[in-house]
Amino acid sequence: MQAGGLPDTNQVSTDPLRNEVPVTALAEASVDAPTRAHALLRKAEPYLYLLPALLLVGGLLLYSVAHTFAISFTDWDLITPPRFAGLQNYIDAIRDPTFTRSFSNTLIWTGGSLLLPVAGGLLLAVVLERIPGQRVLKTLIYLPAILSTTVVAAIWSYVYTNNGVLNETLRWVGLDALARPWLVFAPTNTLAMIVAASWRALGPSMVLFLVGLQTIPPELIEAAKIDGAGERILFWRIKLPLLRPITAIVVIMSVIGSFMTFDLVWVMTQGGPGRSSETLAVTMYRQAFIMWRMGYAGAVAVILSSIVIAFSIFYLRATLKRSAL
Amino acid sequence: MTRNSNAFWPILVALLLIPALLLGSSIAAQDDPVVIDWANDAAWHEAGQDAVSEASLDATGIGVNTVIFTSTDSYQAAVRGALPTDDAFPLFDWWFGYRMKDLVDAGLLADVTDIWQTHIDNGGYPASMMGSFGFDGRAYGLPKMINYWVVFYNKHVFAEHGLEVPTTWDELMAVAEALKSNGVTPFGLDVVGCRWCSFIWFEEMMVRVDPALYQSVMTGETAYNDPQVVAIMEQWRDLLDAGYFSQPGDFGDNWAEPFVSGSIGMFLIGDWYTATLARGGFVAGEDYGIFVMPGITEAGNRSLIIEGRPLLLAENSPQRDVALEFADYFMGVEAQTIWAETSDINSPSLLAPEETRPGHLVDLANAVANGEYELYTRYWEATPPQIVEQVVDLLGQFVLDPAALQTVLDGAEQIAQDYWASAGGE
Repeated sequence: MQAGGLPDTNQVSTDPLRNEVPVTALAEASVDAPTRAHALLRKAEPYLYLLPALLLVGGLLLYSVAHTFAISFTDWDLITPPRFAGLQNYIDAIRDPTFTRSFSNTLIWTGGSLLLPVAGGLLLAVVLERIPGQRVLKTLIYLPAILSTTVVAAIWSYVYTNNGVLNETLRWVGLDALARPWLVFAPTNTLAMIVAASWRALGPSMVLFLVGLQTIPPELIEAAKIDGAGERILFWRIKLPLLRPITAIVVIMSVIGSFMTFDLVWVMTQGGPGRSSETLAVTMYRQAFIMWRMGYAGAVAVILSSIVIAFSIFYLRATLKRSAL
Repeated sequence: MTRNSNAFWPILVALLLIPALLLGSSIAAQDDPVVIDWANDAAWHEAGQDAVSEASLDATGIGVNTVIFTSTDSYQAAVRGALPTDDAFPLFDWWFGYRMKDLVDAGLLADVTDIWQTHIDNGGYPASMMGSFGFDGRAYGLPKMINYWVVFYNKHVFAEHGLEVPTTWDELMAVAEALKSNGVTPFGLDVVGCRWCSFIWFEEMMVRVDPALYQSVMTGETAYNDPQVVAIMEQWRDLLDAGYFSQPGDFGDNWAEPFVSGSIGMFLIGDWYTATLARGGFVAGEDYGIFVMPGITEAGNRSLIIEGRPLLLAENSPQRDVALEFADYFMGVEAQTIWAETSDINSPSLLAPEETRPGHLVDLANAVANGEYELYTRYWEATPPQIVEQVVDLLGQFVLDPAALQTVLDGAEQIAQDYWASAGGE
């Protein structure tokens, strides 16, 4: 090596304490390193922007999912170490008549959510699109959506009490025979709560359908009208097929929401009386935080999530396939 | 020598001062106030705990920092999750009886038998009370609150219909019939707005007929569908069939309004209902009174259901010993007086001054102190929660459909058998 100058590229150090790396390579590296590092950094740049979000999702969501899945195979009460239980929690859940009842109630919730907020929202959007005073009506229909579920539950609990607004109104108009304890017997209590939930959910789905209707090119409607299409044909043959992407979103959101129904039921009936109005999410909560059976609750959570994921994949595939056709 | 003697005195003084300084610093360290956490899920306890903390700091140098959780479920999850670790709250409120048993079994609670014994010997607490706060002769919780379950009656309604406080079961039934015939619902009970309320009349009927039988059902020695239990439940069914109870869904969780308005004449509930009525503007002694439900049998006359809110100490907390010292102070008269006065509760201490007790509970507290009642743990805590949490739902079904009595009791027995079999017949 020449003192004070560039390294002699033809010499290799014989000093055993020094690296036996050809100086040529070092020189190349020293020239290429900034370029390579820069290139590497440029490649990594988008991933670095994603990193905070990935860490959040990975840390808060994926870890929780993995943890729930793992504890579903254990017996764990939070105060003693988890013990491996194999598939016992899943077997217990499937054999448990309350789980079966919760499952049926959840299906009723899903059906009700498709019928009232989805079909109702679509109907309202189509009707409100064309009538005068629609702005006021839209606002009124959307208004309950700004209330929290707990407030909605509290309001409807009073509506449904024996001497509440609903029964008093029925008696006032002479329909005494229809007055009843709405939250006491199954499946009336579940249906009554679906109505309460729909009161809040109707507005947002109506707005989504209204947005969808506005995206339909007016020339298509005009052309159909010129061809002699009436309102019914316009709706079934033009509007509804073109609303398919929005419908898919509203249906998926409603189904997922109904499978996750917890807060409204918890406030209004706590799943009772006699667990008659329990949903899968309420069962999961009860098992975890009342019975301290974390493993069983984990199993219910895994079953619940699997159903939602399976439905979402199946429904989206079918919808997208039809859209592609 | 002169030089040496000059140095001698300063050295001697210094040598004498060193231990004194060390002692002083250690005393100062001891006198440094220690503040430990006390967690609970009752925000209205905060003022009382703060007041006790101030007094305790003066008396013992130990204070408490109240940590309030607004949701009972999240509170329980947080406490249970931390208990096996050294992050456990040193002091925390819990539920007594079987609701604390799994914590005891897991070795997570400090043994407080000695503290109990000291205060029982001082005459501060009835010896029978300790049993509800522990197992196998050892205590693991201290009584922060004790509530007695009594019948609240609307004085205006009773006066309007010329009714007297019943002292026998027959008189109670006569009162119920009179109220019903005058369009007043005799007893308030709603299992729709209140899921757990279904056990209230189950336990009460049991202890009014045969308290020993109640105890043996709670410990799994007698079956829920035992003929004796069935016979007692049939008596309750008769009351339901007679129309003596409010209809499911009548008032939800609004327990004050129907009683205050006079549409319901009597409410069987814990004496904490006093606070609910106070919020409704109803004054004890003027607007309502209380009585212990008369027995259906002689044995049932001496029974009284109690509900306790225990103060527990975490075994794994690094501040366990400080917590024990504080707990001893809390059981004493000074702390109990402050606690009762600030929180307007009926102190479980027999030595708490009479003026600290809510007026309408003084006679009852004195009667308990005089041993006039046998105390029985409330159903919610008297048997394992794994049984309770399922049986209350069945009892709720019974209230809605009294004809389902046998099915309900058979179902309850199946649940109990499953639990006791898995628990190894504890």
